[in-house]
Order: sequence, then C-alpha cells, then structure tokens
Amino acid sequence: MKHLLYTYFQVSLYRKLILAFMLVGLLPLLVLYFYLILYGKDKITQNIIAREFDNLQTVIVSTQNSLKRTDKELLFLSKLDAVDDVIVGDIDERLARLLQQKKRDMNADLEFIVLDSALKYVTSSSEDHLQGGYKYKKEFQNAISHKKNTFMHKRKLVFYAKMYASFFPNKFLGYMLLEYDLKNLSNFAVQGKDIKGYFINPKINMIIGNNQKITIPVYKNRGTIITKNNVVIYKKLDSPFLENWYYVNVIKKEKALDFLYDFLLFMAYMFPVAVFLVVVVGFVNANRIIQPLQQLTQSVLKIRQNKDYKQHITINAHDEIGKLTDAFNELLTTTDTALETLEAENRVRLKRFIELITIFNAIIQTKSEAECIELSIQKIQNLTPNAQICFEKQRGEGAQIYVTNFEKNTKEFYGTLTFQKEEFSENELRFYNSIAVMITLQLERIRLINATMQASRAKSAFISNMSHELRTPLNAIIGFTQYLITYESLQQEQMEIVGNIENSASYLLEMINGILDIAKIEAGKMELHYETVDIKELLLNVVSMLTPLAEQKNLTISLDMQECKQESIFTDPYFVKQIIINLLSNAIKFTEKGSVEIRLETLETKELQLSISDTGIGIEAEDLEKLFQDFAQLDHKIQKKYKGTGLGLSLSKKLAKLLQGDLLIQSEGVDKGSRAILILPL
Amino acid sequence: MKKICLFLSVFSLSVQANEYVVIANKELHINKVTREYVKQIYLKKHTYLGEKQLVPVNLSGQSSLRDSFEKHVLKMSKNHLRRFWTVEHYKGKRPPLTMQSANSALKFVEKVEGGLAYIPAKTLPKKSAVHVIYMWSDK
Repeated sequence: MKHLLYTYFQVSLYRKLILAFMLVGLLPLLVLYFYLILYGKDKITQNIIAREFDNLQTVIVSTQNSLKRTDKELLFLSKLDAVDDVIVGDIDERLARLLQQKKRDMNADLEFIVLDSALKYVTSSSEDHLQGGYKYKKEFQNAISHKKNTFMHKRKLVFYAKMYASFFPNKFLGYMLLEYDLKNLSNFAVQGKDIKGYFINPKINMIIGNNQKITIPVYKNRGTIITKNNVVIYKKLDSPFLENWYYVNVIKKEKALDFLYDFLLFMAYMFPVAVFLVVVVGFVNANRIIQPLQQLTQSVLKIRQNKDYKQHITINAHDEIGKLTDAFNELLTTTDTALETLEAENRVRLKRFIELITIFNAIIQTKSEAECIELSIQKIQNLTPNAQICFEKQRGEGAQIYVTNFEKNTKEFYGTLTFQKEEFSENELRFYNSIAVMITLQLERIRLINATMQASRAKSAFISNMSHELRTPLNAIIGFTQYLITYESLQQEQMEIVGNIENSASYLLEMINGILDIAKIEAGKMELHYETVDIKELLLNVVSMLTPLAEQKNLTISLDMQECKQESIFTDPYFVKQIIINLLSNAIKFTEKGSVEIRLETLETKELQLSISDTGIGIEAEDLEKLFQDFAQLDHKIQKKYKGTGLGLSLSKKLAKLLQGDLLIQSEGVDKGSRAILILPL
Repeated sequence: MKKICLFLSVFSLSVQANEYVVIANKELHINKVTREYVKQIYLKKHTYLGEKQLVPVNLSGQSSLRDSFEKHVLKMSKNHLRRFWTVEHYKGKRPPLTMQSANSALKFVEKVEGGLAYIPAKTLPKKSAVHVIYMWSDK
C-alpha cells in the first residue's frame, strides 16, 4: 500500500503539485483546528484569568481610591472653622447643614456624625436628632485605643477625625465620624451577565455585591479556582480601611468558552469549503504549471516520432519552463547540426566504403599477378590522389608483401608497396596495410587458382587419356572372351573362367566409362543435348527394361504417374535416362524382398519430381552424406554382396546438377528402405 | 454702688434706644473698656490679655447687630473693613470667627476663655458666666 502510494505520487508531477497544495492549504488549518481542540480551552481560560486579574486590580484600586477620598473628605471637613460651632452645640445648626450638604454632594449611602469630646452626639447629617452618648461608643473607643483609622459596626465602615478649635489649635472639640455603608462597595464590583464581582470578608463571613452565597475554600493573597462551571479569581484588598477583605470575580466558564466552541463549529463547517477551495486552487494552479510541461512533452514526442529536429517548440512561458524550452530548442539546434554533420560524414564514409569495396572487387577480379598489382596501384592512387604509390620488387620502406608458396608451405617475399606522403595518420596506415594484405590475399588466390586449375586439367587429361588407353585393350579382351564363349567349345571349367574374365572386363569397362564421364563433367567437357522429351514414355521404357531384374528377385514394381501434369520436358534424354536407370537398378539391387514404388509428379514449384522408394536394406543417417562421394560404397559386406563401381550415385548427382536439377537420397535407417528423389526443372 | 449705677444706666438706655453690650468670658479679668479698646480687640490689634488669648466673635454678615457694631463701635464701613482684613490676611491674621446668632455668640463666650462677643443688651441673662465690658446704642 505504501509502495503503491509512493509510486502513485512519484510518477506524476501533477499529483505531487496537488498534494503540495493540499498540504500547504490544509495542514495549517488542521493544525490550528486540533490545537484549538486540544489546548484552546486551557489557553482561553488562562487568558481570561490574566485579563480578569487586571480588571480585578482596577476594581480594587478604584475602591481604595474612593475610600481614601472619603477619608480625606472627612479630614477636610473636620478642619473647617465651622467645627467651632461644636463649642456651642451647633445650636444654629450651621454644621448640621454643612454635613447634610456634603452628604448630598457625595451621593452615597453614608452619614456624618459629630461627637463632642465626651463622645456625645452634637450634630449629624441625619434627619434624626440624635442625642445622648454615641451608640457604638465601645467599638469606637476600641479603635481609638488601637490607633486604627476605621472601625466597623454592622455593615458599616466608620471613618473618624479629630476636631480642634480654629482659634485654639490645641483645643480639642470632639470627633467627626463618617459611617460608610459597605453596600456602597457593590458600585465598584463588576456586575455582568456572565461575570459577577463580590467583596468578601471570610473572617466575619460577609459578602457585598450579591446575595448569592459563595464559598471560597482557601484564601491566599491572590488565587484562581477553576470549577466545573466557573472560573473564580480573587485578590486581597491591601487597604488600611478594609482588612481581611477580598475582591472576587466569578466568571461563567461556558460563556467564556462560547466563542471557542462557536469558532470550532464554524471551522468544522468551513473545512469542507476550505478543502474544496484548496482542491480547486490546487487543480487550477497545477494545471497552469503542468500545461506548458505537457506541451513540451508532446512536442518532444512529436519531434522524436517525426525525427524532425529542425522543428522548434513554442511555449508562452517566461519562467523556468520557458528557460527549459529555450534550452531544449538550443539542444534541438545542436542535435540537428550534429546529425547533419554525422549524416554528411556517413555519406563520405559510405562513399569511401563503396570505393573500397569497388577496389577490393576489382582486385579480386584480376586474373594475373601483374594485373592485380597494376590495378591495385591505379585504384589506390585514384582514391588517395595526394599520395604517391608504387610497387617495387626490392625490399624497401612500405608495406612488405609476402605470398605463400603452397607447395613448400612457406612465405616468400614478393615485393614492397611504397606510399609516399608527407604525413600518415594511424587510420591511413591501417588502410594501406589492409590494401597490402588484400593484394597479398589476391596474389595467393591467383596462384592457388592457377595451381588448382593446372592440376585439375592435368588430372582430367590424365584420366581421359588413361581411360581411352584402357578401353581399347578392354574392348579387345571382352571381344575375345565373347568369341571364346560363343564359338569355341570350351569345357565347363574353362567356360566359367572365360565367363569370369568377361564379367571382370565388363565391370572394368563400366567403371572406366563412369570415371570418364565424371572427368568430363569436372573438366567441363560434358556436352548436353537438350530436346523435348516425353518423360512418361522415357520412364516406362526404363521400367520395362529393368522389370526382368525385379522379377528375378520376386519384387513388385509399381508406377504412379497420375500426379504428373506434364507430358514433356526440355532436357537431355540420354542423361535423364542414365540417372533413372541408375536409381531404379540401385533400388532393385539393394532390395531382397518387397517392392519398389515409382512416383512421378509435378510440384507447385514448377519442378518435376521422380521418387523411387524401396523396401531394401536402407541407409544409416550418418552414411547418407557419404553416398555421393566418388567410389563410395558403404559397407564392406554389402560391397561384397552387391557388386558396383561406387560411381553411380556420384555420377547421377553430378548429372542432375548439370541438368539444373538435383538428386536426394532419404532413408530412416538400416532395413527401413530408402527413397531416391530426382528433381528436374520444367 | 458702681453696679447699681451701671445697671441703671443700661436700663435707662434700653428704654430709649436699642442697646447692645460687648461681653467677655468671666475668666477674663477685664472691666469696662473704651470703644477704642474694643475696636483694637476686634481688629486683632490686641490679641492677648495677660497670658490669655482673646477670642472675639462676630455675628454673621447679614446681622443688623453686626452693622450697628461696625458703625458705632468700630466706626468703619464694610468696604473699609474688607480692605483692612484683606491687608491683614496677608500678614497672617484672620478676622474674628463668626456665630450665626447672638444666642450662640453668648454661649460661645460662656464656654471659651478669652471669648468676647456683642449681643443685644436685652438678651443678656441675669445669671451668666459673662460680664459686660462695653455697651452702646444705635441711636
């Protein structure tokens, strides 16, 4: 599977480009998607926590600043000249009006109270006329003794300031108090749909900001608690006015993560769209990149197919593919030039080769040594006009020609072929040496042919003469022996002796006649006398002539000429008859029992075929080749049993060849009979 | 005898016109003083009597009594006074503190050693921790 995928992408740049576009387009999207799924919640939660700590600090600072301003306001009021009215119990209610006005200005849930030095009510911003001792005198005295700036009672934070007479700085008049209702703090706490702020004092179990009870298990100076539904962050108020108080923000987790979930859902919906867009963009761009390459490939294939290297490729691209096309066009031009050069060189080489062949052909046509040397020099001179070539019988500088003496089987110096030229290249030297070798071979050939022909002529003359000389006394011997048999009354024993002499002489004459014919054929002196011959009649004559021989051995001879469409052929009837007699007599001679079948037919190759099959002794496959050798009779036993010169088949084959035909002998082995086939042209 | 004479004279004045008195805390051992002396106190020229700091008390600016005091005792117009205190302000001195009513002024003088104020003579209680150091009428 892996290999298949590898192969799928490996073989196609187009697929690789599509894959690359997919990876570049979709991988970041997938990475982002899985990153958000895996880490999005934590990251957003941490981000919320970091952001909300800032908001927390803002609320705390605002709260502390407000409390500081309140404290300063009280201090300011306590230093006004108006506090001198405390001395007279504010009977003019001038101080009371001032405090009421200030209360209205501060627009908060608070109350100013003025106590004299004995902590009895003097006046206040309240509508109620307070009288007697201060209601929370004990808590107040406790705060004074502990030098605290504030103290608390119920849900109120009480600020206080000492008052002194404006005219006597050391004259202590009493205290001005500001009772600050802690529910004012809820104005600073964040109150949103998904986020709620609280001021909490776990020591006195007091919560400001919301009625909903919350429990925060551990309090450090600051911290975060992540529950199933909420993210709670808190920080201690580092304020001189509010000890052990914390500000807490409770954020609904799901709401905070809503955006993440919405975004993930959006991405999930958008992913198929993105895939579609990336695929479309990938396909379009891959096509745009691949198209010039495909054009280039098509053009290259077309050029390769047509072998038209003059053609140039035109692609409308100016990028790397354009440069590739230009380079390829330059390559085409170079290739075309190289091919033309090569072709021209080949033509020159072919011309040289033909010239060389012509020279060799001319050299081997020469009949004499002188002609060979003269023609060779002339032809080489024509081929290399710049070189001066000459032949000398003496030894000298150049190609030394040694010719074989076949009689002695030694090499003899013949002469020197001299090439006079300013400079020779290695190839030229090899060429001239080859010419010298060629001349040497031709000289040897001429010598060999001359020697052979001379020997052949001598042999033929010898045989011809000898045959002629032999035939004369043999004819005399035969004539005398026949005279003795016919006219002399010889005894039986004498009769047998003379009979043997006659037989031997006839056999010898027959052999000499065969040798003479062969010699004539080899000497090219056998003359043919062509005429129109009725082949069927000729065949019937031969069969009828040899039928008595077959009958002596109780052999049946069958003749089939139905397939022979030809009535007559143009040939030498004497030699054809001689061949057929030889074949048929051989068949009868080498068959002890059975039959001899003769079949004459016309072949589709416009040839006439005569086949003579017998059921005789047959021939081994390895002996078939020896059949047509002169004086060949195969087995000595056979030779003893079947008399013959051993020249019959050899002579018949030569005659068949002489008549433009052929003679074949077939046999499947010993005792399996044999088949002689004579083919004659029509 | 002196007391009887003073009482008679005050009584006779009250019959004829609105009479006012300048009162001082009992602890201030001071007897009748001249108008000029009262003026010196209210203009903060005299701020101590012995070791005791004098604390003169004015009535609020809308008070007719204050107008009478400035006219007959200080003998200075409001503009004059304003210019005076502007100059004094730069010297680090502040004008006398004010009370809104004669009643509160009386109470102040009663409670503050060195306190001085002016009130209508008729509002002066019979038994009081103050004593009159000057009187005038707006006639």
